[in-house]
Amino acid sequence: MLSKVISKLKENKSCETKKMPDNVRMQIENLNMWYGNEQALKTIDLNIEENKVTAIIGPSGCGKSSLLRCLNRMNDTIKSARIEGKVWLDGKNIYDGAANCVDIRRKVGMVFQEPNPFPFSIEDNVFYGCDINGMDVDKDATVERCLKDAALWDEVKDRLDDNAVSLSGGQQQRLCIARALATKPEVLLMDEPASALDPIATAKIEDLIDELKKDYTVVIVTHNMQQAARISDYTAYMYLGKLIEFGETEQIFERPEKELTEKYITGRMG
Amino acid sequence: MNLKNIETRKIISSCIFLLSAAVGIFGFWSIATRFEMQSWSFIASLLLVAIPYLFLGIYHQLESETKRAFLAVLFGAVLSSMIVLPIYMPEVVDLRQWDISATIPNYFFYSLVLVISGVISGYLSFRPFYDYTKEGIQVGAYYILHVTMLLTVLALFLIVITISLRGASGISWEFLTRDIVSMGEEGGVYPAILGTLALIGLTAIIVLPLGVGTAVYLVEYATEGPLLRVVRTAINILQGTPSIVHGLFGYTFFVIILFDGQKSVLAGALTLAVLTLPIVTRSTEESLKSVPDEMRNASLALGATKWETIKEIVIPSSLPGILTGTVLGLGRAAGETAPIMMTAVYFSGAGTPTGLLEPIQALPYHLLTLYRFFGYRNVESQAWATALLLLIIVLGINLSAIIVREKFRRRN
Amino acid sequence: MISRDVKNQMARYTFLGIAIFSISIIFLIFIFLFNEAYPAIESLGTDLLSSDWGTRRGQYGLLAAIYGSVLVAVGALVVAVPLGLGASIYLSEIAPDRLRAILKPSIELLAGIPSIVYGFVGAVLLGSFLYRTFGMKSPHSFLAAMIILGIMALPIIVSMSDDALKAVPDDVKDASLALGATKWQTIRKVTIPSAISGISSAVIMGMGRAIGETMAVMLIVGSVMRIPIPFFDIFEGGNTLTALIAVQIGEAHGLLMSVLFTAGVMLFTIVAIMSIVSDILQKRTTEKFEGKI
Ligand SMILES: Nc1ncnc2c1ncn2[C@@H]1O[C@H](COP(=O)(O)OP(=O)(O)O)[C@@H](O)[C@H]1O
Ligand SMILES: [Mg+2]
Repeated sequence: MLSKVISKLKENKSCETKKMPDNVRMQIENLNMWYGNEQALKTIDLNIEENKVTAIIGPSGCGKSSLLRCLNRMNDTIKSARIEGKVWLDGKNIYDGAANCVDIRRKVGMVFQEPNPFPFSIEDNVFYGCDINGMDVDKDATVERCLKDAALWDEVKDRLDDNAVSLSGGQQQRLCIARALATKPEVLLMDEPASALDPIATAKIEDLIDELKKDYTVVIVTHNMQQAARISDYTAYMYLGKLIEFGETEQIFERPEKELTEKYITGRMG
Repeated sequence: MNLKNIETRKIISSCIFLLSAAVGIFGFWSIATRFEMQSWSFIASLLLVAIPYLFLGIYHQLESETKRAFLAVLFGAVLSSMIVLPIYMPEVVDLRQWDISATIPNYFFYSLVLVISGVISGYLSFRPFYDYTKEGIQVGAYYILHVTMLLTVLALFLIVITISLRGASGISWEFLTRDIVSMGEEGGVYPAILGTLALIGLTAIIVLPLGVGTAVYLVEYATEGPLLRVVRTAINILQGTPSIVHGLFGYTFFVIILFDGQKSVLAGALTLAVLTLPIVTRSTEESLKSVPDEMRNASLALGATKWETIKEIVIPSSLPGILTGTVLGLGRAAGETAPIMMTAVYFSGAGTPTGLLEPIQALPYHLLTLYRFFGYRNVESQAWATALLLLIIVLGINLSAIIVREKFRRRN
Repeated sequence: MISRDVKNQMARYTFLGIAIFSISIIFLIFIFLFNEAYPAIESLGTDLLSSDWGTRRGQYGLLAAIYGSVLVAVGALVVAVPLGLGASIYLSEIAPDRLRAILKPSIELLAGIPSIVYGFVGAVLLGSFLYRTFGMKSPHSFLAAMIILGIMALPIIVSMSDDALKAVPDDVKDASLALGATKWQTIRKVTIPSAISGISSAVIMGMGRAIGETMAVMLIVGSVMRIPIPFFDIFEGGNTLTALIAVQIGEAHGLLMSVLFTAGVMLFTIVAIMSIVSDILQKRTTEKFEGKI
């Protein structure tokens, strides 16, 4: 514990910086990742553009979630996980020894596959991030802004004190999005946010993502190709831990360059 | 000194922390040994208490946190001036003037200040190291949690260790194999060992078919409904019922009504069986429920009858759970005193048990008897040895149950 | 040869028979206790709740013992709850896996130390230590009983709160971490509030253990049927319901026996209420997260 902190603070003053290209919010550079001895990500390079939706697609188990969790250092919570490489945010490497992962997670919000509201009131759920980060903002205004941004305000404005667990699945997931928006993250990560929802709730979430990209940069993992095609500007196709192809969504789905990608999107691969 | 150098910061923080720990431990030690104060110890502790806060103050100041520096030094000054207080106090603070029957010796306040001061400066020592962020608070909180864990483990292990140290010398081959002689002053505890074993054995024979049979019926045959819920609640309540109440029941029902006022190993075992019945039933139920329905259905689909399914599939695969629960129940029974006190044991004279309807001697009760002779007879070493033996038997039984459980858990 | 079908039927009825037998024993205990307590309740009525106890004079007020039971249990909680909760948080959230794998079973193992052993150690060592340190009237005191019962309640509180904290799903904790909370903030603001009903259930069970404890209390608290004056004077000795029964049962018959049964019924009712409340609270922790989807 202590040694970890020390090594973190050691490079405190020599934090690595670099100039990132315009319009690029995050840059993944030569990223490798292992669970124990199992390599889950193999030399990934990827740029996440600002105010765009980037979709990551690929068959189950190919490492989509792992890659996403590298972007806000959530993999730190898994003991067997080991990461090499760099991920740049605002010109700083988030895997630099000096980087503060608590701070990074505030800047890079995340929405999980299954809705996971806290078992307390809707209002407290939304405000949680501001609370723990000691942000000096008005609670009511923040809650209203985030719930409106997450297209949930009209449905819950009269029962902000209700326990969040009593909401429907789709509402819970939008609440989780609202909760992630409260700290004004620069990037929003979503891991198959609609996979546990019915078609109507899914449609609502998709509309919402389209709205969100005006203010936020969104990275979404999905195994649903139609969904990726509907909502994303860029698409990355992964297979067995490798990034096979990355490009504009239209190009990926209509004129894939790699054979593997074509096989996958035309459904000729299991 | 370059405080931007992380190594320097680490050294300062660790030094303050270690000092604080020393102060706290010294405080505890002085309570435990009823420390006699002398002038040198006053001056030493004055410094001991003040130094961490002084360091903390300098540290804060170098980090340009003037307000924190001031507070730390002020706090340290208040605490160390409290160290001096006992000098101006009478030797004991007499609470009897307020009708409270105790006198608090002045060194007690002194020790208390040491403990409190040590804990607080330890809590604060890493704040500057973490740049006063919420991680610093986390380290402080973790430190407090470590202390609580340490105290918990210490309290529990201290009891075991004390008994081991005091009892070990009394345990010998003789002690294990000889009769109780002259009220336990001499001889051994052989009859008590046998009595305890007889009690556990009989209890097992009675409770196992009843507990397991009941659980099988409740899980495999009974249909869920209000009646079953009432039964479950009743079993729950019986499990929580204090053992003295079981003793009361056993005494009136088994001894007085059933056996005509005669205490006996059978009456004791029956009482203990009533005591362990809910434990065995509930743990068997749990393990039967953990057998997946697919296994039952697969067996039934192969043409097996329900009884064959239970016998061949359900019970074998839940056996470790049943075993664990039963053995834990017996471990509890082996250590119980209250329920057998009035049903099975005699204060003296009981030799090795000869029949089911004879009273016996048992280890827990023998320990109680020996304690009653403290100060009258020379029974101390025998008593500690008996306590140790009882501890070994009970913890041994429980340990075997826990090992079975952990093995089984790992296998799944 | 008995046919398989007959065997099947026989098994069914055998199990039914066993179940009926055990369950009737259980209900028999309840009925028996109330039945034996009835004469005292009928003839003494509210006198049972007075503070006047004198078997020679025919006075059977149980108030001192009731008060003692409650006082000791509350004191035990004051000792056990801060330590036990801290230790369970450490165990479930912070301890490295290997340490946890040793500590959890050890603590559960130590839950099995017989109460007579606690009582013996408490009476011989702790009682006389406090006696000498605080110059009390006798080595018997509520304070010593509170400390020993607190230690006795520790394993059950640690183990049950650890279960409650572990029952909080990881994905909820992840949600908190992903918002930039430190691990400690997550524990304090999400894990503990989510597990609070399970933790309360653990505390109640610990209190139940303390109230029902007999041998340890009997040896440590003394057996004076008296409410200390002033009532918070924990440096004095006293009595509890359990110790009262244990001490008196040997010579009791007639009305006194019935009074002891009344004490038994009181104990049993208190503990029954506690275990029911505890059960309900425990279920709530898991149910809290079941509203999901
Ligand atoms: N916590 C973990 N521990 C060990 N292996 C893991 C863990 N999480 C995922 N993996 C493995 O890493 C690979 C990639 O998983 P994941 O990133 O979840 O894939 P995807 O999200 O594309 O389905 C899989 O083979 C999976 O088994
Ligand atoms: Mg995934």
